[in-house]
Amino acid sequence: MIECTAATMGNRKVDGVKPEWAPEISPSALLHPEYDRSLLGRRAKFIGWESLLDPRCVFVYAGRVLPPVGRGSLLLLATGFSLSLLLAVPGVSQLGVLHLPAAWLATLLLVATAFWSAVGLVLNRSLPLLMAEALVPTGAMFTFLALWSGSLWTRAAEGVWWIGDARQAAEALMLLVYLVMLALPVVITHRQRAERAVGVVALVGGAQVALLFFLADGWVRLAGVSVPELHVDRDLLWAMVVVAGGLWLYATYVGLVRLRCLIKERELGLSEVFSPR
Amino acid sequence: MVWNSVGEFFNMGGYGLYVWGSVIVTFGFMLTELVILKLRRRAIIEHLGHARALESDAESDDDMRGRNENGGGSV
Repeated sequence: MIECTAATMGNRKVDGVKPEWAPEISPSALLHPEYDRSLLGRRAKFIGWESLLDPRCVFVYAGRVLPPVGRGSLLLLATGFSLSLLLAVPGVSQLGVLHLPAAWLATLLLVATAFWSAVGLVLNRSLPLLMAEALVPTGAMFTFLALWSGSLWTRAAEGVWWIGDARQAAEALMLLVYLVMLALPVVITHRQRAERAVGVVALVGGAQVALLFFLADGWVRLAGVSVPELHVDRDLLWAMVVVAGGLWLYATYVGLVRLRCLIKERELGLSEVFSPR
Repeated sequence: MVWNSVGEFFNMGGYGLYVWGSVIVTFGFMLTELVILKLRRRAIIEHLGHARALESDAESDDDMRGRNENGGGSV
């Protein structure tokens, strides 16, 4: 069976002809008149904004977008880490280059998950909810990494593993929210209910994390409680931004791959039987 | 470059364990995620292959023949 990815399909020729997207599309789709030009054409052109609601079209678009996104991510990550070594003396600040972008990405992914959940719940469609579900594992991973590197950083700088400031507390709550969202599709076997549950938890959990962060921050300021602050190296700012960009592209890549898997599994009825993770 | 020696690169100002520990954990997790997704994709393609084989089997058979020959082939 031919490995059908955007990369292989774009570059290979079978019998002197570039293969179509056809092998991964079921026979019934080939009969639908709408799909003739777009999905069977040599290059999957964007056929219009309504096609974004159709899982088959999104499947194909995502596949086309994947290779450049993956390459861009590798490039940015390599550049970012090289920059961080160039700009500062090797030391604890290198941890900041890992910790801060991971924390930013974790927050961004929670916001994105909440956004797609809102879209899916409002429009009452499953595709945006699948996108939300696709982003959750990566977000959970980044939150864990942010907590991990953050603790190591405070250990190195202050000597304690945990300082109870707003940032770290919000990160811990964020991890909890992500873990709940990860567990729900496994526990709830009914697919539609699982998707909606993840959507609701994303919205509620996201709001709670934001609430906790701003409340804790405000409390620290008002009460004048002295919480040790971490020194962030200004020189490394650009390196952090580039690494954040690389991680964002990586998250997009992984999210789209997982979205394609989810679409296929749903189409094949695999997720009714079990939830592969 | 701001290092004075290769040793300083690995030592990271005395915090080598923290920094390199984080780097290894980070990239380890990212690579593991990619591997898990590859396995998941392979499972789906395999399932597609099985389904396609069953479909073409059913189509190529004569109507006169019984369905039992195709019955036991699923995953």
